[in-house]
Amino acid sequence: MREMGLALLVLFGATLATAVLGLITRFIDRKVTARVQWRVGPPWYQTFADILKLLGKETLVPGLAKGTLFLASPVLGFAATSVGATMLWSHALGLGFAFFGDIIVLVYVLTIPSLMLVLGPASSGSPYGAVGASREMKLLLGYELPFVLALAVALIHTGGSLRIEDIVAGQARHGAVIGSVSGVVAALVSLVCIQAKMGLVPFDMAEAETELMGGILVEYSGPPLAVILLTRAMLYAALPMLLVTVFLGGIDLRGLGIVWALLKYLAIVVLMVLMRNTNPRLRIDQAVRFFWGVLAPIALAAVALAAYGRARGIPWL
Amino acid sequence: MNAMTIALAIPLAGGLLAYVLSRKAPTLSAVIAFLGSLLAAVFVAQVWSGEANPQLLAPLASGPGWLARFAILDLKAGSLELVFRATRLGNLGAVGTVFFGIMIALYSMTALQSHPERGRFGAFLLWTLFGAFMVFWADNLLVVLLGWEIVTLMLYLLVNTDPEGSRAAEKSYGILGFTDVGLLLAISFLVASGKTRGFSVSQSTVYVGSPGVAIAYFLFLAAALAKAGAWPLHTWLPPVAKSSPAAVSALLPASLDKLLGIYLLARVSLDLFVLAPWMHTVLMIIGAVTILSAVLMAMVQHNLKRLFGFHAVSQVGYMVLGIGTGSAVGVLGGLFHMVNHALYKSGLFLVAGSVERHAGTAELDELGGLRRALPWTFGVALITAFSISGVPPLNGFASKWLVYQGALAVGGFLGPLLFTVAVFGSALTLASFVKVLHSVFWGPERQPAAGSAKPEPLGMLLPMLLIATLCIVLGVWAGPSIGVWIAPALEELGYGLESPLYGLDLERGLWNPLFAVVLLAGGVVLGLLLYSVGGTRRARTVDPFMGGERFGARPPFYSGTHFYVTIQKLPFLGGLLKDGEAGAFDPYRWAGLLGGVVVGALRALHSGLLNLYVSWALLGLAVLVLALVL
Repeated sequence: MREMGLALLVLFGATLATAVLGLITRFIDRKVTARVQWRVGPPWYQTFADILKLLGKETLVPGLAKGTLFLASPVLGFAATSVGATMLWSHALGLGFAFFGDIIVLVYVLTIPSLMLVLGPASSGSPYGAVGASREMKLLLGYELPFVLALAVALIHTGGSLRIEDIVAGQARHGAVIGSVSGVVAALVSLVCIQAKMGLVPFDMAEAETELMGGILVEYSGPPLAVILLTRAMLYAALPMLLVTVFLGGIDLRGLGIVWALLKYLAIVVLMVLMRNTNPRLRIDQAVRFFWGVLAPIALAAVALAAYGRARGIPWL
Repeated sequence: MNAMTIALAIPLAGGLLAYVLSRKAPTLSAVIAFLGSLLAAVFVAQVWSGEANPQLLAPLASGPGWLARFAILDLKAGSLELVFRATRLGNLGAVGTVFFGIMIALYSMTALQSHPERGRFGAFLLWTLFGAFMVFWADNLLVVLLGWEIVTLMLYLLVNTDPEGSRAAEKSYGILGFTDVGLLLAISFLVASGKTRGFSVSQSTVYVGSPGVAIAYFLFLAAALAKAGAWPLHTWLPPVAKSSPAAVSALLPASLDKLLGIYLLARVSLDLFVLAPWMHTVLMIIGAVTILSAVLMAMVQHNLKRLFGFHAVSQVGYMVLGIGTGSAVGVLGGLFHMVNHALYKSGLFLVAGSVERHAGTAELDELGGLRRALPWTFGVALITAFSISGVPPLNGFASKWLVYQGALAVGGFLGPLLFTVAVFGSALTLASFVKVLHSVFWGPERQPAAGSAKPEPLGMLLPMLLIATLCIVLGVWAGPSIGVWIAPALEELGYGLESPLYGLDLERGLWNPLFAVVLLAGGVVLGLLLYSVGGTRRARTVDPFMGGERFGARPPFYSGTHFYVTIQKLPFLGGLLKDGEAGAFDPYRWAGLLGGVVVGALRALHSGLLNLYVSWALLGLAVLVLALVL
């Protein structure tokens, strides 16, 4: 019981920390993007102000969406993101109490927000929402395959255990996953995958303002929209943290580790912002073909390389 | 008379009674089916608890711990006996059987009210239970075969009610009957060659050394996989699911066939035979191919029940994969998934029945907006759909999670590959259920074509709600559920498991669902807090935004069947799916075509000319003489 109370406390703290970190990251993203496009960009507090403003607005619900998951799904997505963030932070802080899930659970929990962004809009009764939802779902199918393969590469390198602490400990012993050929490939593949998971350009076809008027977001307004945007901001913090944990040797916030952790985190964010600013939006069929036809074979080759390296005792493969 | 004998006798006698009354008093037959299964449950429970009590039954290894024994043939050379023995794995199957028997009997009392065959349905249901009990408890390979055949026959009779059903029933009988013959051959070979101790299951251990024994194992395997519906012998299942009443699909292909098929798979692969390592690999690959091929087919289906049928195939892959690993955690996952699958898949078929009853059709293109008319069915559909897609913390996730652990522990290149297939298959499952939820329950309501247009009656609702509740319970309390239901069977098969009682705290993995649920609830509270700060309760109802245009009462609707057209149009995969839909990978169709060629050639020889027949006869005589002389 005491452990659960403590965990709830961590949940609260982790949600707050992730939200703040995510909103700051989102600000950096917007500012850099603005500078790339020769604009001035927003002030530092803009991302916070957006959420607050939306919380004050009226909630509109389409008649057809009543009695469905329409209003519940943003909350469920938010809750799942909080739980995922709790797992990441409690490992980063080395809280040391027996926790409730391994890397599979974490990946699944961080998939729930995407799922909720499919179910909510699909239930809204809007054709734009439904088209957006179908694209989001297909995108999820697309990146899931290379992402799991990339994850498998990391698991081969760290000894096959799925426990997050073992993955981090394995990297402490044998060096970070990214210190090997297959590790670099897998890390890059999963970087592209989380770009899609975030719905960032070039994978924003589910929103596609110019064709679908916001697609999955078209019917959301006021607090539900605020919750969705906050969830996305939190994912902007949580997903890079996940990559750091799995591929870059983990996060250790004790002592000087905090600087090191921040550098790793920023490296990933910079790459994401770069990707977003140098690519046009793909069509959904192009995206699925890219993930299944290009990234998945590359990731599969990385798995083969890693398995070969492990069998022959060549760690740098 | 002991509990086991009575539990066997009740469905047999009850079925006879129900069959006699089926013409005159079909309602009474349905009631007899329900009461009979309830009564049988009492005795099955006694067998279960008696088996748990070591005083009542000697441990498997030491001597004849039979509970029921009937001599049917006593010759000088030896006796043929029906020997029944309660094993923990068998008891798990028997408990599942009687549970689903009760649920479906209750459901069908109202669901099949206007069905012409509802009286006989009750009789067939009870006999199906009888056949299943025989398989689960028999300690004699011939008795296993007999029970196995009874269930196959009952499936044929239950499905064969109208012209479309009759074709599906023929196909199912063709495939299942064919593999049953293989089972008979395998048993005869093993017994005749003295590899087993008589017909006994419990006292025989067969080492796979010679090719003959390997073939015998694969014949057993074929029977198990065909019954469970795994690739490549699954092709009978989707047509059966489509053309039979939902209650039949929920009873046999969804639950009992899985229990039986996976029971036999586990019994022969882990107990009767001692497999060579390459056979484990074959099993795991069959599992992985089943997962992926069937779920891709499911995604492009347009009929609700046929779509569910393909999922009933795909999910078997997880069980075969789990048992194929041969490791404690994989086998545990496989068996637990068998139970979980039986629950959520029968729940889903019951949902399909409720939808079809209301709307008069199961075609996804003609359905829509049913959440308002069938709110409870919608709720059950949500839970069972999330469960089959492996969304934590439901039961489907718990067992898939165990299978993932087992797959990854295989190691090498194969382990990560199987792991990826299993996780990816789960994502594809989710995708096809998004399509189902969208096209059946959301959007504007369609006018019911021929259905009753009434909400679901209590008799149908009750089993659905119970099954959905169990999906949650077995997910959130996965550890204790495994401790009670699965761990004893696992132990009997020779696997030890470290403390599964609270969370699933394994050496290489961890999943504590109760803890996760508490945290998730905490997150939901935080989210709701944001809602209440923003005043979401005072939400205003509006029309969907269509670029400012007004479409009146019926706004345009983007049907769920369009969701994955992109994937159907992918270069390589699209072609495969098209061929699959046309039956290019269906062994039944190929066997039929081959048979057609042979029969056609023979038919061409029957020209009716006497000269030709005489010359054939002479030719044959010449060959015979030649053979005798030489």
